[in-house]
Amino acid sequence: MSALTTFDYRSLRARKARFATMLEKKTVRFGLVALISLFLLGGITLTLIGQFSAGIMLSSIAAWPLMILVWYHYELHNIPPTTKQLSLDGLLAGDILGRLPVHPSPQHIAMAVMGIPGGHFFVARFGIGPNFLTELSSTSPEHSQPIWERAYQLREQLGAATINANMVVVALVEHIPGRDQLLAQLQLDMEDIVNGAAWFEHIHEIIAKHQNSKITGGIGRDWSFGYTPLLSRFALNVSDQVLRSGLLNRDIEGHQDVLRQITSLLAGGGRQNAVLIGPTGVGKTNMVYAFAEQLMMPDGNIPKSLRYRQVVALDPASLIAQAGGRGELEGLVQNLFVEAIKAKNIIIFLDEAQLFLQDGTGAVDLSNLLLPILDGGAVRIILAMDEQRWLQLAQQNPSLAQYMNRVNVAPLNQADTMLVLEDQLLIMEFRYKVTYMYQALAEAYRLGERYVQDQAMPGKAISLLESAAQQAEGGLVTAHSVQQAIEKAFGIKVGNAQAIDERETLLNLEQLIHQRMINQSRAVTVVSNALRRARAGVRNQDRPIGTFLFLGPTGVGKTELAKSLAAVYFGGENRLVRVDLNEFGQPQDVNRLIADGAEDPHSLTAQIGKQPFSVVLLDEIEKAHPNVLNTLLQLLDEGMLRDIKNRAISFRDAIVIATSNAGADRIRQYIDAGQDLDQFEQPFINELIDSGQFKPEFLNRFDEIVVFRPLKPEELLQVVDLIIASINKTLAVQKVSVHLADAAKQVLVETGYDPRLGARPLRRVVQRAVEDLVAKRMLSGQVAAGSVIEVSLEDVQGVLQS
Amino acid sequence: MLFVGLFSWWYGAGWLQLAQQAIGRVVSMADFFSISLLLKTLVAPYRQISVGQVNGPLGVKLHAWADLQLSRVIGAMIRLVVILFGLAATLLMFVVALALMIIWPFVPVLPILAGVLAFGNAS
Repeated sequence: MSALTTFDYRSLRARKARFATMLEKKTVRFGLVALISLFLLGGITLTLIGQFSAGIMLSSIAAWPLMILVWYHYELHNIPPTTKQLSLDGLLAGDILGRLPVHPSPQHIAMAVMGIPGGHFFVARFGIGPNFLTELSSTSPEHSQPIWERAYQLREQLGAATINANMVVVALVEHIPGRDQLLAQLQLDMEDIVNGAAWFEHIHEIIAKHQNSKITGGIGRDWSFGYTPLLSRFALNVSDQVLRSGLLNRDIEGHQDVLRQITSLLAGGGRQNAVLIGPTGVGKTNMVYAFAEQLMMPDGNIPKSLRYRQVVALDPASLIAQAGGRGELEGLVQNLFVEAIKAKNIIIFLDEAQLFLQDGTGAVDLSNLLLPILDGGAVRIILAMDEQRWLQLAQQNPSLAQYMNRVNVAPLNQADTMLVLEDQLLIMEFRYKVTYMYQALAEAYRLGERYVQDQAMPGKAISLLESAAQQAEGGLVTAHSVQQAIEKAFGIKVGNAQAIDERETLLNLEQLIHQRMINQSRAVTVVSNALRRARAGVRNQDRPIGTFLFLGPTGVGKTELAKSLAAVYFGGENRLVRVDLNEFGQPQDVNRLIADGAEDPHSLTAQIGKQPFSVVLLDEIEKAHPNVLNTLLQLLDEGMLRDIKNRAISFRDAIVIATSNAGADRIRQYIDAGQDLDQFEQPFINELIDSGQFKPEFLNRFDEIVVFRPLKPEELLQVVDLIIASINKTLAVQKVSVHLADAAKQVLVETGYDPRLGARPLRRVVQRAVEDLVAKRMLSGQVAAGSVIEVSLEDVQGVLQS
Repeated sequence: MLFVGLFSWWYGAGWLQLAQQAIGRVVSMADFFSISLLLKTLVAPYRQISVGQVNGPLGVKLHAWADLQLSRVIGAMIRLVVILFGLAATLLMFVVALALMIIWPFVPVLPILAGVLAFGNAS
């Protein structure tokens, strides 16, 4: 390591690097080309006018500038490292070396690297602007040594020949004072920057790989194999496509293992077939493409029996479109397989194999046709399907399943998914004409894992990044673009509260809710606090936003609070997912609760799967069967619930409110005894536990247990005002409004209040009295647009008596 | 000092690089014409145009065998022609590469040689 202190500014390699930096300018190279042309033209002219010797000499002088251009192209452009001794000037990449002064300070180094592709990469992908490094780096040359040492360490780690700009950028960032806070502002940490260095190195490897000429067998490759006109018509030649377009495939251990298994199965004795089993989006199709590429560009690991074999994927849509009936279709597929057998170099690939093995829309069951083909083993076949379909198939057609060799393709972890995304985005960037930032990739993984349930990694992150391309800002796909994409798709709020409107709403949540419901201040406050914690990003991300148990008699506002919350903050009352647990009193009702959305779109898991940003109201929880309550425990604990197909549904963006009337009479007794809520709340909860109505482990799952007390008479008058306000809102379209006399309100409260049912009958009574009255007056022509309908005590009494 | 760098590269790594490139081009050309593959499969039935294995009376089997041999002969003829073409092209590529390799060391001294030639003629 100490040898790295040697930086010889005057070494031959350093001089070459500076000369290369000069030649990098297009104008200089153009000048050299012009010089070459001038010498040649001059020489030719002299020769033509008879000055043969002078002409030859002048022309030959063109050899010297030509030599410089050749030298630049083959060596200076990418100067190889000096392997004889370990020194900085021997190991630094030429583009950095050529830009360094005699005694480079960290700031000089930063200026050098930020002006070349390695630095540009971090600007575009990570948002680390050129000034970020140059202004914050030390100006003292003594501080350069640790930077070189770290860059050297990264070179070893990444297995690169030279110390490149990406490694130097990492080293520079590491040595910036207060770097963690600065990186945090860019939603990054140091590990991300190191990953960036590896990513840049990988891009270089891809470029180098594609620059090397490919050995693909040549024009006579397929002459020993048969013609396949039918297959050309009804199947996609995967091998041809891979050869034409190339394939970006990262060496991921899990995937390499799958490829080795496919190769071994298809080359070995016995049944030469494989069925790739894994969830959608896991990369099964991509595995087959990678396998096809290996066969077309075989290395020593590919057995001779598989070299230059072509993978063709049957296209079910074109087959069904071509064949009129089932018999015709079977005949066509039979001919395709016969053609593949005769050709001797075809591997048939049935992607989404259930389309060929089960009857359905756009699908046809050809398993009886496939059985003898698989039995004969005359053609190699690869199938791909998900676990569920495979199990169904194995159940329906065990003999077919017996013939197949199973290969599992597992979802990737975060690190491997990021590697796949880094490759895939090169294709997506070309397709959508955008640039993806690293933060967008990381966010796509995070949000995909949390919200996208119908795919596995890396597919879900890729889908999300594709959607995010539509949200690009100035051609740049950022973490915010990904958040917007998921917000649009699921109607949730994933970023922290930034908009002024939303912040205002959050800060004034209590007042806004109280515009819709009276009192119950403690309940309103705890729910509002939970939401503020969530939107400020300080809550536990692995649980629901908040879980609350509301206890109290009927008609005191428990459900109304849930509705108000949905309306005020979640975007409307339709954001309330209500489950009446009195309908879940049997043990088998658990299945209804977690039913598959395709079979029951109203199951709890189906509704939250579609709309994760919701208020979940579990009404009358005490009436649910203990099995149902046990199922709900996982939801309350981890914010996840597995549906009947074992898919994890996230409740982590929902507020869960459970309500119960348990102990309502006891609450009334406490109130009648003149006790305040604060005094009896805890003893009351203890009583509920002691009486066995709720188990302590169940109650402990809730963030807060809130007891609602019955409304007082003066509060009921306010409830009447709220109901009248809601009637006026409806009447606003007709440009009229209603005003009630105080005595009339009092009568309505007396009529509508029931100690057992709370304020619930009040709404019905007020609506009936007022709406009936208004309807009659409007129909009789007594009400003109813009007028206020005055309702007196007598009016109300008249309506109520009738 | 830069001239030292240029000349040491020209007569060292540069010349070697030229040779490696030449070899790469020759290999690519041989691959393009599938010379190695065609030699290995010289007598394989061309494009599998034959009736293949048949079960039946001896006459039918003989007919199928003759059919297969015809396919092999046609295949061998086509492959031979392509192999010959490929070899010629590869050889040409090799000759060009060799010529470049020979000319390469004279390029730096070309103006000097031309000067000597010009002044020699003048005197």
